[in-house]
Amino acid sequence: MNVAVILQQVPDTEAAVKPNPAVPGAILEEGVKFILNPYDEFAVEEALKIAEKDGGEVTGVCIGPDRSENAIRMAMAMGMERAILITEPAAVEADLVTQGGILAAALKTLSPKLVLSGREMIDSQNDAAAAVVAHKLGIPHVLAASKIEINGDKAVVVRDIEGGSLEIETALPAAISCQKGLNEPRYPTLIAIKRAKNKEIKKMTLAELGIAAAPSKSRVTALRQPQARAAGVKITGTPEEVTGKCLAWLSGTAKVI
Amino acid sequence: MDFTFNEEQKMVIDGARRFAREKLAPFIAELDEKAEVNLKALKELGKLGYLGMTLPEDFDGSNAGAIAYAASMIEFSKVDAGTAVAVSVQNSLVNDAILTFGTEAQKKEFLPRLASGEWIGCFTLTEANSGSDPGSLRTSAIRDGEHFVLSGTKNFTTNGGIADMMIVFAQTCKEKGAKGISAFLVRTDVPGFKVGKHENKMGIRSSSTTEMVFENCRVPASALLGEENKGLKVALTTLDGGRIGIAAQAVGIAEGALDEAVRYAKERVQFGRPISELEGLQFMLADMATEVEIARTMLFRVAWMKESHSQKFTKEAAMIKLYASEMAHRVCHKALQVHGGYGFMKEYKIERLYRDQRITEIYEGTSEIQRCVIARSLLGE
Repeated sequence: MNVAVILQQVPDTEAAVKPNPAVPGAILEEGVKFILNPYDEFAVEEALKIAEKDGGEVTGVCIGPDRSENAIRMAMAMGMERAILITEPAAVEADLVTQGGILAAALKTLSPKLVLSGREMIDSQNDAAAAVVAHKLGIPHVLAASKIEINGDKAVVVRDIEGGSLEIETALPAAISCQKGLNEPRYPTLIAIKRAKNKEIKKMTLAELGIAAAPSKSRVTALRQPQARAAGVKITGTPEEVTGKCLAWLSGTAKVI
Repeated sequence: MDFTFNEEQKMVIDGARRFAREKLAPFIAELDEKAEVNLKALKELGKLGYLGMTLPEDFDGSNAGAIAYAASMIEFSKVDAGTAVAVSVQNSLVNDAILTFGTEAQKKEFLPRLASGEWIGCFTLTEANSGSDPGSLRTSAIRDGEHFVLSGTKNFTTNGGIADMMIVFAQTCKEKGAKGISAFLVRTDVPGFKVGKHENKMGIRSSSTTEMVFENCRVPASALLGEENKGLKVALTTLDGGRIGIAAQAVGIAEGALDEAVRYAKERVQFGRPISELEGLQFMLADMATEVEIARTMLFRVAWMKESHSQKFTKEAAMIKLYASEMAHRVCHKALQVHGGYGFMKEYKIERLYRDQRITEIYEGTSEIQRCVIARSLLGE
């Protein structure tokens, strides 16, 4: 079964990210390490497991700047065979719905039986890629899968919810986003890392995908860091004094009681 | 000149870092306490290719190169210097020796199994009365037709207790002293061999260090690694490469100690502010970071010399082994000092790093031997 995976490159979770004052919505990239979106690793692992069962192939699709190639190579080192990368600024800077249309157009060239994505992108916290792509392709979607079982032309997906879980049956093809806990992403072997270098990354333009323009209906206008938290108030004294001072502070200064 | 890792190297190093974080870090405190080996992790490293990093693909090696190997060693050593030395022995001492001196048949028999981690190897040279002076080996290998009979006891053998095969050095011509030594490739299940005492060590306690006991242990003449009586060359050539592994281990331990010191200095509040705001302490951290950086830079240059086969690197390997191990001593000392009394307690990682560091100045050639090697090269002897 051929599986396609939507991939995204994001700043490393350990990176100290700062807004770029010159470009609204962008970060300063100097010194920042970029990685494959961690949730996408679950998607790649699941895709490989499903494809390995019957000799299918896993292909990635990605919208992002040239540096995204490194994230794709990581997925290739895990075992993904091929990828389509769209680097045109009009696509990279587009909103999620527009990007979903572009991804759907790229996916159509592959006609996969299953489309997987990470549950969310850890940088923008966008979590709608699978849903938008499904909508554009006219196929069902399930978000945040913690278990996927393929059964012929159907998939049974489990999604964890507060205090329990949902079991959802969907026809295939479908788009499913992958939650942490779905699997344990494999470590690339060193030989696979070497092989990944020579795998095909096909760069496609919007024109080649039959998309004339990619007008965004929304755009990010600013990126701000959270304000530094003010220092707390330290209250000392005997238990009686502390209780008194605490009550006085809560009612007087904080005005919460 | 380009001091950056290529994308492939970055992925190999990232993999090593992730492995150290997920598969080594959770267990090291307990393994250190109990003096136990993380054999499961070691086998997994084999499957991933980290035990055959400098072997060609013809022998199922991952051929990642000496630079990626040194960088991976740093990542493992930061977290678990005991597992790291097992990785170093397999790559630098066992694989490289067989690749350089082995016959095609020996390479085919041993290298794929070592590269995959199916077999763990060891390099057994040292004896109770023969440390820096290999000419004084007492373990003998007496020729008996098409066989050699090995007798004697080796000690301080890294990986001894977990090894499936070993490179054994023994006297084949006693009168010739250091020029009468030969190297042998021997499986550990051969009759007449047994693992002796397991050493109770100060540091790198998650590695196995044992005696190796040979009692009339018969091995075929085809087990000779390199020529008869040319074992010293096998030992010395192999140890050149080994020094890169140990230097990388020292750099890793030092980096780990520096990370711990920086973290602690930011957290620890005295006199109403984090101690990282005290200039005296900042100077210590600055010196530590500078020394680590110098060692890293030279380490990768020596690794590059090995990888590019451009020139002999005996002197430089000795220099970086000497510098990195003594640098790690200074850095661990200061990092523990930054921790104050807490650094003396087992709850803090720096206590283990401080102990783990010490052996790097001793094994695979003491600092004094490294100085001899460097001086000999300088003086053209």
